[in-house]
Amino acid sequence: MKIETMTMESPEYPEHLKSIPDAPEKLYYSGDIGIIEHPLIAVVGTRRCSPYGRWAAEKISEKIARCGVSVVSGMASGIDTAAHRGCIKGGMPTIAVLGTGVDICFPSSNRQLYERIAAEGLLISEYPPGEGGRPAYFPQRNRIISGLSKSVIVVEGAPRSGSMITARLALEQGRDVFAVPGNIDQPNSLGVNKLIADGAYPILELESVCEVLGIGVTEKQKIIRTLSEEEIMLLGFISEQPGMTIEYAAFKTGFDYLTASTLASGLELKGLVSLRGQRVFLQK
Amino acid sequence: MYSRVLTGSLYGLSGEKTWAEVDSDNGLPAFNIVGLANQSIREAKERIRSAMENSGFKFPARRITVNLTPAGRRKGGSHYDLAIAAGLLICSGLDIDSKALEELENGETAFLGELTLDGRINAVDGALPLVIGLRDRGVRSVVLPEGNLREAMLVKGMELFPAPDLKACAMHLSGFERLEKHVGCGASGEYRDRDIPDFSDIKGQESIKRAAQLAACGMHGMLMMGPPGVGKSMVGRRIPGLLPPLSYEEQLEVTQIYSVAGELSEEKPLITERPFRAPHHSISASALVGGGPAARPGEVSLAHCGILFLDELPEFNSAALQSLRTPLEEGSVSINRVGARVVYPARFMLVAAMNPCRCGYYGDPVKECSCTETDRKRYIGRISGPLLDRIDLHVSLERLIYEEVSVGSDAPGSSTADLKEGVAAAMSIQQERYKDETIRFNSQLTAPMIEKYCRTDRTGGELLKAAYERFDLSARAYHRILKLARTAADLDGGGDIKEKHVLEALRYRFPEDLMK
Repeated sequence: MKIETMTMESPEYPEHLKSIPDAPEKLYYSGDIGIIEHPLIAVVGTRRCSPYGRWAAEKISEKIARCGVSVVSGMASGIDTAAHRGCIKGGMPTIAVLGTGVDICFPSSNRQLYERIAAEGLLISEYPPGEGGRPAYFPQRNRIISGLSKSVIVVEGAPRSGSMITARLALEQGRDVFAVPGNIDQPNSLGVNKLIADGAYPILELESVCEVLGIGVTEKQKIIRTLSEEEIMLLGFISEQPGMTIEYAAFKTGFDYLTASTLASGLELKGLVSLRGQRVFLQK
Repeated sequence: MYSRVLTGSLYGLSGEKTWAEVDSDNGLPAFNIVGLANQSIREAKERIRSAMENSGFKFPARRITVNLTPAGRRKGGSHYDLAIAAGLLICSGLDIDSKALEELENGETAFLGELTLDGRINAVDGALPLVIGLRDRGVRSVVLPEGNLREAMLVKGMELFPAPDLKACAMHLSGFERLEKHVGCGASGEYRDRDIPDFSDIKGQESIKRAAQLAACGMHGMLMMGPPGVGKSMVGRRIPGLLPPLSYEEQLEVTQIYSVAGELSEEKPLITERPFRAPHHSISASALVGGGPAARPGEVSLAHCGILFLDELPEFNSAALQSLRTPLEEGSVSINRVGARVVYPARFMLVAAMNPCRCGYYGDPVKECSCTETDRKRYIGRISGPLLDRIDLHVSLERLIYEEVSVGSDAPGSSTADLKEGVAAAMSIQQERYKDETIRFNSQLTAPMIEKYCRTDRTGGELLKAAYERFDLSARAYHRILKLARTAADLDGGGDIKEKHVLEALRYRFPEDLMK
């Protein structure tokens, strides 16, 4: 395993991180340092998570990864693990900020994930190689997690947990904090729900998470980018006058009927419009 | 004194040889007909007696027995009269030379015809399939009613002697004055375009015209859905104009069916144009697919090689709709009767029309639908899934709002002639492709054939896969789309199925949301 270092003076040291109070002087890392240039969002939460929390962390991470974001987390068990997994699933490399030396896998049950991140992602720590974890180290590294990221999403956490520390630090660093609302009968929900009460943005639904976070492009926009000029033209007309017949749209856009009909069929297949008989509507 | 004369019996469309044996004996005068003859044959006695007397012959006052053999098969129809009368004439000493008699007894000439009381010979039903059957069984010539000559002329190589009355027939037998000989020449050559209305009468509405063209190319079943007054029937009546004229084989097949059904007349002795049948929705199942005591062909067979148009599809009685499944699947109908099973071809293009709901305004942009959800589902539900599965192309017609109407009103759009060109080309591509298969059109493709003939190019295949997942298609729906895409590609000059063909075919899926 190749371990490298960077200091505040190094060119690869992210500007973004320098701005936080108490920025680390020196960082050890292993993996592709280029990832640090990606848009980064932290997804953090409790180690003792519920199945719902694990699902939410993984899905949200996957979704934002698909918008071109790399997820930063702490590789702890529970939410952190789910966040890293989701990011990998979404096709983006992930960054783990460790509370141990980068050559140490903690918890050891995460060996597989650790190796995967070492190979495809980036492991970062402010502790020298060989350094085992100490309880105080973990809250410390949380400031790096939020410091590296543009926003922080807290999935689950009790009121005085490490995740709440991350959220507080993030606010101090001027990062946006988002929280996933939880059930009110679970102690691990109380922290996040309180965050929402204190003004964190709630993530209300999975579908719109990328828009809420204001990142990358939505899937719809991505599809629209792949459209041909003709398709854009037709789509433009449909959004102006939804519910018109294809034949009318053909007349207005200057296509012959068959072309317009085929284009509309393609747009339907891409999920952009819906066809009811001869009438064409915008798909929500 | 004994004699025998050849005639024929009809079982469905298959004409078979039947001998009329006549024996006249000393004894108390009597006239009996045996050989499983039905009422219409037994009544022949009276017709023959009067016809002979009124033609100047003496009805023999002897004990006469007629046997129709093979005697074990049921027989019906009035065409046996002439053969029985000819046998009687020979028995009662008609002057006939021995060579002619021998030919007669060898079965080289057959006799068909119904006698009137004054001795004239009436046309009979089923003459064409009878003559075809007799030719196939080695009979060289037929004496038949003048009224059946036109249809019989379709049978290549058959010698035909049309007889106006019994007397002329007797003169022909005795060699005194032969009847005029005609030789069957095959195609009639005449093709009278029925007054099929033109697609140019429908202003604009390119969508439905295109759908009709596509359906006609592959003879795909087509269901039009739309509120009252948008022109569903108008479209249906114009579709026959898109199809090419009947080929000789088709003329032969179709005319046979009409002949058996008794639908030929003096004005219409041959079927030369594509059938268009539009039965009313009160039709019974047996009238639709065939049946009744005489196992007559039904509307589906009368629409063979043509179009069966069912307007107001959900209003048909459900037994009738169910009975459509077999002919749609197999292209034929078989009717079982005691002692006989008859098969009629029924390969037709189904064109159906319906309202989206009982009041007709569901989904209308302006007028509100007055049906409840339950009403609507019940209405749609009358057409069973299995029947819908056999309709490849679903298309809806919309009531247009003013803005949309004004678009179409200037341009007449495609006419029948415009559309027909593409159909002819696409049909000849199919003919070439399926020359070694039992099918003729894309709509008839079976699952293994679809694998073989519906190849998509790479992007087309990917698109199809995406559609399968996105629209949650069933395997059957998937096949329907492939078949339609095949036709769309044929209409585009053949070759592999491309992206745009799949996209077009996808437009004609059944609107699933109506079922929900």
